[in-house]
Amino acid sequence: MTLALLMLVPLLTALVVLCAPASRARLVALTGTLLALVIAGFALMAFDWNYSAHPGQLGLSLAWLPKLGLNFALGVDSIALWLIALTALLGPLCVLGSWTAITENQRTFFAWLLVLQAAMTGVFAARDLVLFYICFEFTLIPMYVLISVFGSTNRRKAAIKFFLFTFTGSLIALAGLLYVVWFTKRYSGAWSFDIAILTDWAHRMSGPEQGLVLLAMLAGFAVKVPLFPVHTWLPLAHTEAPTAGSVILAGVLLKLGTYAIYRFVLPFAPAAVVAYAPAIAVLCIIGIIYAGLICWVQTDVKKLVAYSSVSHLGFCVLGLVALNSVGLTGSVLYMINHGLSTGALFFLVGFMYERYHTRSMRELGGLASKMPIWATFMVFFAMASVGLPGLNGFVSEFLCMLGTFQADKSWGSGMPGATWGVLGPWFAAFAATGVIIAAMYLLYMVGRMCFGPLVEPGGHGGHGAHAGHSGHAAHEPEGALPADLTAREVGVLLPLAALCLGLGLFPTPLMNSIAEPISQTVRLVQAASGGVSPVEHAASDETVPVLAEVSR
Amino acid sequence: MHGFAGQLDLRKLSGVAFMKGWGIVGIAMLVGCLNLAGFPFSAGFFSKDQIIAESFVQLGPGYQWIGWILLITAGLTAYYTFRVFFRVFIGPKYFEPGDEVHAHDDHGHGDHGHGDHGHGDHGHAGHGEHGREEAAHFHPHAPGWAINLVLATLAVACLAAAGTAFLNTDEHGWVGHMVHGSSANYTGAAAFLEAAPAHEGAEAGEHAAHGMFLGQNPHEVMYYVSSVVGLLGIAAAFYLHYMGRTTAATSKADALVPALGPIPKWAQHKWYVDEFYNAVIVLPLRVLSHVFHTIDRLLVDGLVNLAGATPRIIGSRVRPWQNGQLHGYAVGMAGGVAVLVAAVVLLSL
Repeated sequence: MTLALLMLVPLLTALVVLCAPASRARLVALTGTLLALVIAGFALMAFDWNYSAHPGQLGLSLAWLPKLGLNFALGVDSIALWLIALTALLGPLCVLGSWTAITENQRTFFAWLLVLQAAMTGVFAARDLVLFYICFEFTLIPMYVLISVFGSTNRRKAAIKFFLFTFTGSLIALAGLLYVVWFTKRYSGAWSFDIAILTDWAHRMSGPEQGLVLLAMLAGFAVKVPLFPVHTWLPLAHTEAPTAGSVILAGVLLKLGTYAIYRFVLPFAPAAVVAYAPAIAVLCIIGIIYAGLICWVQTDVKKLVAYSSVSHLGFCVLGLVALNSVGLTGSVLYMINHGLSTGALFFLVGFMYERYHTRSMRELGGLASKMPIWATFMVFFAMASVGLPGLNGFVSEFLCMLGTFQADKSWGSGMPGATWGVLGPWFAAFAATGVIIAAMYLLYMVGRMCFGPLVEPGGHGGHGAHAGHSGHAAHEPEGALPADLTAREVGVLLPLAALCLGLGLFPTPLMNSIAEPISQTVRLVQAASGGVSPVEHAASDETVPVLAEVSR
Repeated sequence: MHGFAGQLDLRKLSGVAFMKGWGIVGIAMLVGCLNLAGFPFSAGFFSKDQIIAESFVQLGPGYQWIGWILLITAGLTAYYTFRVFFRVFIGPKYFEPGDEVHAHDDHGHGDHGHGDHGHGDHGHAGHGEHGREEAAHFHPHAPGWAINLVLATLAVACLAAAGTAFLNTDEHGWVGHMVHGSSANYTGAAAFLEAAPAHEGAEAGEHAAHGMFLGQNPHEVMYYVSSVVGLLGIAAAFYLHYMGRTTAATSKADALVPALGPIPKWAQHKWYVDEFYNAVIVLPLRVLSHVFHTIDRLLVDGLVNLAGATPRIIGSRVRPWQNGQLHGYAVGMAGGVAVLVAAVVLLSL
């Protein structure tokens, strides 16, 4: 029920926003998202952490098309719950962050933002494959509107490319998912779209079947992540989107891809994952290095952060295909941490853009003297993104690489801590160069933007005096923002900074809370792919004691 | 250096320790220099001495070389740290404020005087044309209590750490334990090494259990050798940079410059290490990054755009056929029928 509320509240708020006077739109939106955040807080308390792998917690199930086994079924395990919490947290922050940036069509903007939040929550909360897919696809529409109406100069092209690219991929993924449903129907005798039931049957598919299903699913999910050759929609969409859109895109939408890989690709086609893991890992590593180097030569600071997402998400998927619990833990943490730190970087770039109306590093520099608070946050979140020990990025990046390092078949038995897998030290070594490259481009950006001689565009003061004032001036007494961040903007960044520091220093509670669903997935993959028997693995893996199959 | 507006040039400061308010800095500098130079009984002495001795003790190719290199470096360290002390902190009082005052970026390399710099072309009014006049207007601010407290703490800690060396038995806490292995307590270290099974190898029978320094036990000898080397370095600095020096900018060391050939120039450029890295690592990576960026925009994204453009291209090619002229469609239909008939006839043959 809680989960249904988490979807309903934003949806209803969206309706209220549309009916409310335009000047009140952002206030209504803020109220709605804050309410959702409170509900998410309750959900975290109501969740039974002793059964963190049980996929049906806090849920409900309504018959939809019983003949086809379609249900409106919601429910979460701990991983999905954390991602929902991240979504709920970013909601009010995005509204606050767009407080002054959006001056026209405010109702449209905030209504779509709220719909987007409902859809993203639905992706993580869905227990039914069709419901998942509907939500997964539905995120495209609000995002399309946000980019094409509220984006910057090249917004139409970016929006269309984003939509068509990800939509085409998702259709192929749908074919793969439906094949799994059909397979289950053929062998179990009944139609079902229940993800748990499908998980039970899917891994019995033959090797070639699994291979095709994997490729089909990856066609959709890898575009969303995005993995190396299919990433080109992202820099464009990220750069053109309004600030809140970029934050949501980096914070949650990309995670839909990695979450889907975790939720469907690994358990549905385990044998194929083992077979394809090295290839996927190579794509990840190419992406890490290639996108990282591209970051380095960007002059548009927003594009730099956008390409950094391509690089960073490579680590995330690398951790997933390490196929051991260290790598998977790192990957899930990465989903959350990247959402926090990169989301914050996009906020910072957005706040700066509101003041200077440029994102070019040629026209900006040494802003620390003008905007000391902004610069402080910039350095902080850049460090979190680089993976400075003590901040959140380090924990997840390190775990992803450690998992990759240990995932070596030939090494496995002899070495302490080595676990079963098909990657190994070489993969980790190449991925690690990405950390150096990340330090290179992020420090380059920080050095350029924050320090050195002050450079401002066109020599003017750079205060964001909005020229086009539009009809509804009631809420916008004066467009000018002060030189440095306002209390509202600091209020947006402070929670993210606190979480970055908190998760950097004390990641253990979060890691423990996701250990159990991860170890279930790991055992499922390893058992189905004939790697190690479940019993043997449970003994060798260092995760917390594993509960029996509580999920059934 | 902060007090002199960011002045980093050794030739433009002198006698700082005798200036008002700079006494603590001067004393702390002396203690620090003594430490770095490995002056006998300073904390730096014991640690450096032990490292050098151990490298002579180790058997195997190269260790002797390492020991000699360390020893020479120790002498150089003593020389260059005391060069700073002799030049900047004592000697005739003189100073010239740094670039942070007059935003001038010529650091005055080489031996040309500072008088011909075009100072004061913008910025603070009242600054004269020449360094000397400028110095008269500039008032260095002596460090406050915060900096003095930090310096005093560090200096006292250095002296205290050295003091523990005289308590070097096992019973004197962790500092004593650390110093215990120094050659100041060489019998202990030697006993440890002789007991270590790794050293019983002594393949060459005529050698003792460990390596030698000029035929002596390194632990015993290094105690004195490193002291002498350190003192030599200090003496060289004293002779070249203090004795008979009347101005800040010149000293006897200047006479050596021609004799050393290109070495001073290389040293001034930090042996071109930065340039080397730049050429071998940074520049190629930078080029590669640009190549990747171009590939990404043209090739990877180009393929995507091509896929997107394909339907449009096909559409624009096919569109003219739908021209609304009925006889045109009739011809097309007749042609199609003809092809089908032909196909059927051919297949049935």
